[in-house]
Amino acid sequence: MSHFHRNLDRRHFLYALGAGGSAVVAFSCGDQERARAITERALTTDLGGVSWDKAPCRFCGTGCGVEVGVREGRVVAVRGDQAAPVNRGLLCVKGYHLPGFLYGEDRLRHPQRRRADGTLERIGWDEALDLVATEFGRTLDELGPDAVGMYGSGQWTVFDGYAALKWVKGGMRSNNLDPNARLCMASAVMGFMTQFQSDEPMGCYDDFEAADDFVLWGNNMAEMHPVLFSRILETKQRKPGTRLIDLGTRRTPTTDYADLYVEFRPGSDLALANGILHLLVRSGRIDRSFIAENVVFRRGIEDLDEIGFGCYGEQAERYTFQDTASVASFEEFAGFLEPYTPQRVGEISGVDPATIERLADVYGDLRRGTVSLWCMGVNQHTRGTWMNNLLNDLHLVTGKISRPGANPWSLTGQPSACGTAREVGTLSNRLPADMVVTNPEHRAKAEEIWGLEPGTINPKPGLHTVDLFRAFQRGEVRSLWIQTTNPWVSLPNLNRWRRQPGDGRFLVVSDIYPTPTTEVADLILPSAAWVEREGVFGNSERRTQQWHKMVEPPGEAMEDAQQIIEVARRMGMAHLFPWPDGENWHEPMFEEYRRFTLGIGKDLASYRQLQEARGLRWPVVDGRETRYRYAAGEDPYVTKREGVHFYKAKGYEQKAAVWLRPYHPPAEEPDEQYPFWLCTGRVLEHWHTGSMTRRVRELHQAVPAAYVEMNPADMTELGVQEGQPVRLRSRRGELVLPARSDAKGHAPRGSLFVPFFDESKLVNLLTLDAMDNISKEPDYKKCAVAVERA
Amino acid sequence: MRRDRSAERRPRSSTSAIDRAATAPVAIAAVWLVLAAVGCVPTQRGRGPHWGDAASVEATNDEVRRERRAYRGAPPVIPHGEHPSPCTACHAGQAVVVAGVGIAPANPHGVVDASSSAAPALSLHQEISGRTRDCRQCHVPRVVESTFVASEFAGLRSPSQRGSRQHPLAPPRIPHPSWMRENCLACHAGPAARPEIATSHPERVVCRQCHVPVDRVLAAERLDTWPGRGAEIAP
Repeated sequence: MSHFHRNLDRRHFLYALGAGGSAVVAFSCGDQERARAITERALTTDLGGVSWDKAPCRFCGTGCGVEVGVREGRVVAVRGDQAAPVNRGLLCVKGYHLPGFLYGEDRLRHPQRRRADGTLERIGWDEALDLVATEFGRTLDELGPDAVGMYGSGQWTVFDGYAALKWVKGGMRSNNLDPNARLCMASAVMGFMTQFQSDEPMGCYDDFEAADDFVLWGNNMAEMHPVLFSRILETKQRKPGTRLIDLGTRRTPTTDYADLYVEFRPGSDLALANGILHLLVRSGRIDRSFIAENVVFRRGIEDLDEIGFGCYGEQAERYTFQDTASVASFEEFAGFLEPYTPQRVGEISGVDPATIERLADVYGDLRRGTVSLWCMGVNQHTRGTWMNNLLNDLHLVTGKISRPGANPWSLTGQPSACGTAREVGTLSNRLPADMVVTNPEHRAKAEEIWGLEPGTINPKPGLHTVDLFRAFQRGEVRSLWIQTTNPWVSLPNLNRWRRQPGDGRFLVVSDIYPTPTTEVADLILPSAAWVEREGVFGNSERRTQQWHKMVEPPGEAMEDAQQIIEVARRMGMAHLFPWPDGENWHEPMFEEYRRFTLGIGKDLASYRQLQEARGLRWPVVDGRETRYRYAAGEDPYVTKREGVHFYKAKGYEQKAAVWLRPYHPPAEEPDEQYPFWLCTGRVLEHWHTGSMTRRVRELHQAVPAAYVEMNPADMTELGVQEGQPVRLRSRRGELVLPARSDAKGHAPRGSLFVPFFDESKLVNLLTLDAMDNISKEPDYKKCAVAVERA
Repeated sequence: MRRDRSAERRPRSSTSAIDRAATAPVAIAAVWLVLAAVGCVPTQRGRGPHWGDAASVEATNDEVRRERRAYRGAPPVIPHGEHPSPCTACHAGQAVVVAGVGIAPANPHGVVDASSSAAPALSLHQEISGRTRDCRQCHVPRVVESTFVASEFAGLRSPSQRGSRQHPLAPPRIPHPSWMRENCLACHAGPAARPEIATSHPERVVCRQCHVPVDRVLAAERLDTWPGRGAEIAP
């Protein structure tokens, strides 16, 4: 201790000399350099005896860099990391209040088992892990690999996801592994895969300074990606003439900054995008040479009756629709677009035909860089993959892709939806680095890297999220482990998943707080969170970010990956995790995972490099990151001298596919009985199901409870005042909420919005478990409800 | 029960070593006399009427700063109800006394030079298209006083000592991070300034000509290394 203080005094002294006294005390150059270095170190440790280290924010997919202040084993502060290229020192209110989420009084600190009477008893880790291993082992023996499952998260670190993938696919030989990211960005994945045969955006956040026009498709960036939105606002200010176009079904805080707001009828974005394509093709405002060089045309199954929505009739229990691609041509494309005239699109969407012309002018001005941005509005859509296809189409036919300031831009909502769910491949059909279990070569590569016998990995895709829970409800999946997510709040149509523990099925939930999901668990395991363990996240712009463990987790809490490793060892699968006990296995595990990515355009940086950097954007080749994929001069895999090369699309002769995708109506629309549209989503202050942000005092006090956003005219008609309760009823459930017309957004007439963070006001009792035909992502944005005074 | 008591201790004083290191050459005394004559330095060993003693500074920290900030450096919450007018109608470049209501402190974020590459890259505090400023990205109101679940979070306390001096006659350094708090006068001058930190010379608006921010060295080095800045894309 005294040694520490002596050092501190010396630092203070040198710091005083270096920073303040240039006129009084003369230094030689070398001394100055040294003092400067010492000063910097002193600054990082001296602000109140706090040590600072870098980490990405725990919340959304933006991946802001924060510096975490730790004193005496506790996180006491954060600050925006000025050296982080993502956010350059700025955070949003959630980021600024990050430390609070670790210290809720009810943190889970010990494993707990549910007794027969429903109460919980504390047990030791050994007993808990033995129980998991025994239950999963018994299910495997009795029912086989289709009866076990794991439901993970886009908030999993790369380590958690990789350990889960190895255990489920390499150990238990099951593919019943899916992440909550299925509810979040699976449609974006399928958009990229069907068109570029490689997942994740070609652009990066540098687009936010380089673009001329930003077109937001159902995307409330001011609340959902506030720091990125600030970068757009700054660009608007620095470059007069920069335009922001907000396409949506309700006015949001984002709309306040838009140069043009276009309100469309829910679900009609499919028609709107086709309408813009129609005008571009008809008037020849397309890049013909780009198309000739880089584009092929495809179309799939378009019959509404054949596709369905996965929630009614015979499709209600299993939804296994498969799209089939057929070759098309530019002429067929032009003919397909023929009916999408401004007049007809206007009738479907409610958008004035002249406004559709204006939107076509934005995309059709080939001298201007256009960035299209989207997130849940497009992804949580019964034709979400189609909508992703159409937005990518807009950029492909105009050649506005893979260059600074011109890109289709799919944003993600979770901190490692890209890094873990997509790149590690914790989806039911995937293996790391875009590989799939149905491809024998891919399985062989995974078996080789994992040192497994050929033929170990099961070639049959597992159950996607909604089907996984339907199968669990039926008892076909008997043992299920949920980590880092809260499906009993976030799944659609929650009444379907009611459960009483002790029904013969076995549910394990790892989390950091009690949630409605832990309430139905047979076994609750306490997890370490964020800087309580070492981790890696991958953000929306392909940036892989590493952080170190900075504080001890509370009680006996253990990081998710370690929990999986311990269970695997107990099941005789220790060979999957061959790193010695007691040693830090993070680096060797990452380096093993990294082997999947090298040499194929998905190259991750070495762990050592990631420890030093404020994140790096893959592919990282020879230590250098890539800003624009497929672009000559940017992407090291492109050998052309100029232009783009979609080298990953081997199935399309290394070109990108423009898909012909028609308009389909939503699965459920308002009618006389249920006359209102219902849309769900987030607010700025809360993140997802609120299990973390609601435990932060400032965030809870700002937005303490859910409400229903309603048009003032509808409220008057119903005879309710501001804040008075109304009852929402859908075909599936009902919910009472206070009505608000002055909340964050402004609902148009006949339309409602309810945030989903409040576990005591579960809006997902009302939502419909209809889903996208290709990605199997549910639609949380469109269903029909009735409203009455409560 | 697991509360970190150390958070409530006073931070270590950082002035003692500096005081010991300083000498007062005659030449500097002469300079000081000149500065004192134009009102730039306080008399009486650096304590003028506008500087309170350490205890009163701490008392204010406890009551006000701590109440509105989760930890040192956290954006304060909005301590009043919502108004229909934009935040900047009251919180502009200078503090405003609103009759019968109180004092609206100035916006401390200052005006960022849009052409400067050293400015904060993020212009949320700027006027955009004549619209309200997006203050709510970081500052939130208190709609209720209750909590969802009690918290054991104990945030870093604000410093109670004044900025250290190179020598007794030198202007004090800025003892807190000044990142995104460029408008010093928002807190240190005008009706909203707490007496113990109010400046004696608000007319001298270029504060950093004489007062060195603690984080300047760090900030400057990092700004230089920002990759991919601005619209210019390197080949």
